[in-house]
Formats: sequence, structure tokens, C-alpha cells
Amino acid sequence: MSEPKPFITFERVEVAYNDLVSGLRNVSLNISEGEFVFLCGQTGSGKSTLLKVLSKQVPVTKGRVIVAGRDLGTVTDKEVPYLRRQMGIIPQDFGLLSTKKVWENVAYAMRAVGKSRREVRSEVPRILERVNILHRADAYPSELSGGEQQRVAIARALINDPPLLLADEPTGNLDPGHSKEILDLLVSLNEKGTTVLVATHDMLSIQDHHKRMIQMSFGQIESDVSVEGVVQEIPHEEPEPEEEMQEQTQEESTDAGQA
Amino acid sequence: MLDKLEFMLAETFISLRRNTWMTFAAVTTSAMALFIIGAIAFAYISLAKFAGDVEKKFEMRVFVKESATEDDVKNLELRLNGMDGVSSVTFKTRKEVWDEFKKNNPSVTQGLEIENPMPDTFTLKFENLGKADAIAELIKKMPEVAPNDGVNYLSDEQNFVGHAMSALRWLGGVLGTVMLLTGGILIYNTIRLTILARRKEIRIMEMVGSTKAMVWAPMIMEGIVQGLIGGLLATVVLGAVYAFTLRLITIINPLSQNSPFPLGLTIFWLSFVGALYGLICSFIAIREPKKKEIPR
Repeated sequence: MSEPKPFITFERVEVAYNDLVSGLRNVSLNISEGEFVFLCGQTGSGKSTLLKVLSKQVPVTKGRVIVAGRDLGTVTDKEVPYLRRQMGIIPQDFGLLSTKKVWENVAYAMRAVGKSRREVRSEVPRILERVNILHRADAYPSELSGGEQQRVAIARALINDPPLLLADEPTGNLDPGHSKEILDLLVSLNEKGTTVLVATHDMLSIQDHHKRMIQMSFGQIESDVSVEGVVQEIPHEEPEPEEEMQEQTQEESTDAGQA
Repeated sequence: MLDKLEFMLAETFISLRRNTWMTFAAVTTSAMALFIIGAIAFAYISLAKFAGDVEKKFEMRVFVKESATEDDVKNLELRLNGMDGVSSVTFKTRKEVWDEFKKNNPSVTQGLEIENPMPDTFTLKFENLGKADAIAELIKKMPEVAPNDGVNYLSDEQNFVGHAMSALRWLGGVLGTVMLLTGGILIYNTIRLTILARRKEIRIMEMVGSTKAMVWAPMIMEGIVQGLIGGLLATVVLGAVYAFTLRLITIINPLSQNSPFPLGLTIFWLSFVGALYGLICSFIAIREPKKKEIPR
């Protein structure tokens, strides 16, 4: 039996912010449909860049990224909004509008993608119910706990019913109890078929969930641990002499930056 | 479609309300700019109309000297008819001129038993008023023409109208440009402030997949609304100033004929120019952040 086609493919992807600073360096990986993947690593390891590449917030310098059979390099500026409707983005800072109630935050996002008032009226309660926050629909964000605010952000990410969720440090601002609650919610959404990518450095929370874990460091994949716990060390190809020189410069500059 | 439009309009008015003072400044400055341009355009059009009327009525009178013979008069008539820029020449004897004067000014001449003081007179009309001064100079040198005040025409009035029109052109150009620039900068700043105030909304919209039109159209509409309100405000002020001026003129000269304020036309033009200007300024304001990513 042949393996199913991957849902997301990174082929030797490089992202350079400028001549000295790289976001991603020669990243190759495959993610299947319905998979749950943790992207781990320290700040600046490239996990957020990887998510931003998927939502076309950051352009690829080299290589190819394919999502649902579509090469992102062929996606035009006009098509980007439609691409983003295929994925739900969950930011670390929740990104909620403080002057709007919970239901209004979700409704606003729906109206912004062109949904009618009728659609908003019928779908908002359903979405809030899905993330278990319907009982706080009339509360303002300031009246919610961090975990509840993140639930609202997840609800907003679900407005287009996307097959892919990208969560950038969703537990970064939460205590361990709320972190577990949010990760459990993401796992439950994954169990219903949504592919979920979570960038995090919260190793404690990850350990409770037996999911694929990609360890990143300095823009490269260090290791890829499957659900079964099989560790796949990623060999880094020897760069060409010219590239070697450049990378050394980059490392030196990074070291200097860290120092 | 209507749902989208409703959303964009709602966003526009939220922004206008959010930046109340900046909106107020932008609207009033635009209104002042449009008022100045409108007022000067009005004055210019009225003056041009007046100048046209003067041109139509413009006549030059050439008085023949007392000692001129009948041949001299005929000779003069021939020479006047042959002059470049003169459209018509009519002749009246001194008796005809005197009779006409007595008829037109009975209160002055009633009971006056004096000898006819009027000279034989030619009345000239022109194809081109610009040549009137040069023609007058030529005629003054002719021997058949009365010395000193032999030529009489409205040179001062004509010059005044010309100077006034030129001054208005300059004043309108300079003041209008300064005010338009100020209004434009204020509209631009308001839109930039809106972008800053709405960066969270813009970020959310981009995150969930709003089209560029949906994100940026409310800001364009905000500029248009500001310009439009400025135009309407300018029309109201212009109408009031026009009515006040008309009253003043009527008090000074009760028999003066004045045309009514062209309200529809003024509303249309000032609103149109205001809206167009708002559109251009807001478009320039959103161009920069559209090129760069909004800082997150």
C-alpha cells in the first residue's frame, strides 16, 4: 500500500530576513492530513517563521512549500486571503478586541470575511459551543481568564471551518492549568479531523500529550519524534564551501547577538 | 454584497467617531479650502460676466474740433472706419447730441438758455477691447479731433476689471493651494491615525482572510466622507456669505439686479471636489502601510 500524500510539504526551505539573519535553513518535512505536530525550540529557533511561511506572512527565499497540493510559491497576493481562510491562525497574545464582547469578537471576524448577518447569527453560538465558551458569550475579554481568552481566539480561528490550525505559542501567556486546558482543546479539534501545528517552548505541557514533536534550533530541524516515540535525527547536509562561509558569518552574528 | 457594504460603512463611521477631533480638524480645513476656492470662483465668474457686459456696452466717443469743416468730418469718418479693431462708427451732429442730452437730462437743461456746447461726435465700437488704448492714442493725434478731451472712453473701469480678475486668479491660486494642502495633510494624518488605531482590527482581518478591499476600503471611504462633509460645509458657508453680500448690495443699490445663489450646482461641485480630494489623500495614506507589513 502506498503512503498517503502529505498535506504539508517543506522542500529544502530557506528564509533569510537579511544577509546575516536566517529564519529557516534548509528545512524539509512532511505533515499528513489530520496530524498533530508540536514545533519546539527556543526563542529564535524558527518555529514561528515556519508557521508564518505557511500563512504567507513571510516569503520563502529558497525551496518549496506545498499545502493541500498547492505550491505556495504560485499563490498570488490576491489569493493570500483565500489561502488564509483554509487555515485558522491562533496567536500567542489572543488578539482580541477589548471593546467587543466574546460573541462580537467572533462575529467581527466573520463579518470581515464577508459572511452575512444571518450566517453570523446562526454560526457564532455553534463555534463558541465548539470551544466551550458559549456561557461567557456576553463577557468582555477583560472579564475572562487567560485560558478563556485563548478559547475565544481559537473560536475566531474556526470561523472558516479550516482543515488546518496554526497555533503560535498558544500557551505562552497561560499558567500550567490553563495551558493543559488549551492543548486538550486543540487535541479534541484534531481528533475531529483538523490538522494542528503548535509552536511552543512549553516542554512540560507537551510531555502530557503523546504527539509528533519537531525540535528546531537556529532555523534547522534538530530532531523529529513520531507519535510512537521513534526519534529521527535530521542529518544536516554539508554546505557548499561558499555557503559554509556565509553560514559561519550568520552563526558568528547570532552568537554575537546572544552574547 | 449589501452585507459587505454595510460592514465597510460601519467600520468607516466607527473610525470617524474614534478620531473625532482629528476628523473635525480635517473636515473644517477642507471646508475652508473649498470655501475659499468656491468664493474666489464665484467672484471670478461674476467679474468675468461683468467684464463681458462692459465689453458689449463699451463705446468710445470722439469729439470733432469746433473749427472742423464738413470735409474734415467726412475725412475723419473715413479714417475712423478704416482703423483696425473698430467694428462700427456712427456720427451725430452737435445738434443731435445736444437734443439727446436735453431729452435725457431735463432737470439739468430745463430753462437753460445757452448756446449748444456739444461738438459733433463719432461713437466707436470695438471688435477687440484690448486695442482700445492704442486706437485712442492714434485718434488723439488726428488734426480734426478736438484737442485735450477729444477722446472719451471707460479706460479706468476696463483696467480695474482686468486688474481685479488677475488679482483674483492669484489670490485663488495661492490661498486655495495652501488651504488644499493643509486640508490634504490633515486628511492624510487622520487616515494614518486610523490605521494606527485600527492596527489590531487590521491584524485580525488579515489573519482570518479578509480581502484587501475589505481591510482598506473603510479607510478610503473615511477620506471620501471627510472631503464630502467639507464640501457640504463649504456650500453652507458660501451660501450664507452670498446671501449677506447680496443684502449689502441691495442696501447700497436697491435697483441692482442680482442672480440667485446656484445651490444645486455649488453642492455638486464642492462635494465632488471634496470627495475626490479625500479619496486621493486617503489613497496616498494607505499606500505606505499596504506596501509594508503592519508591525505586529
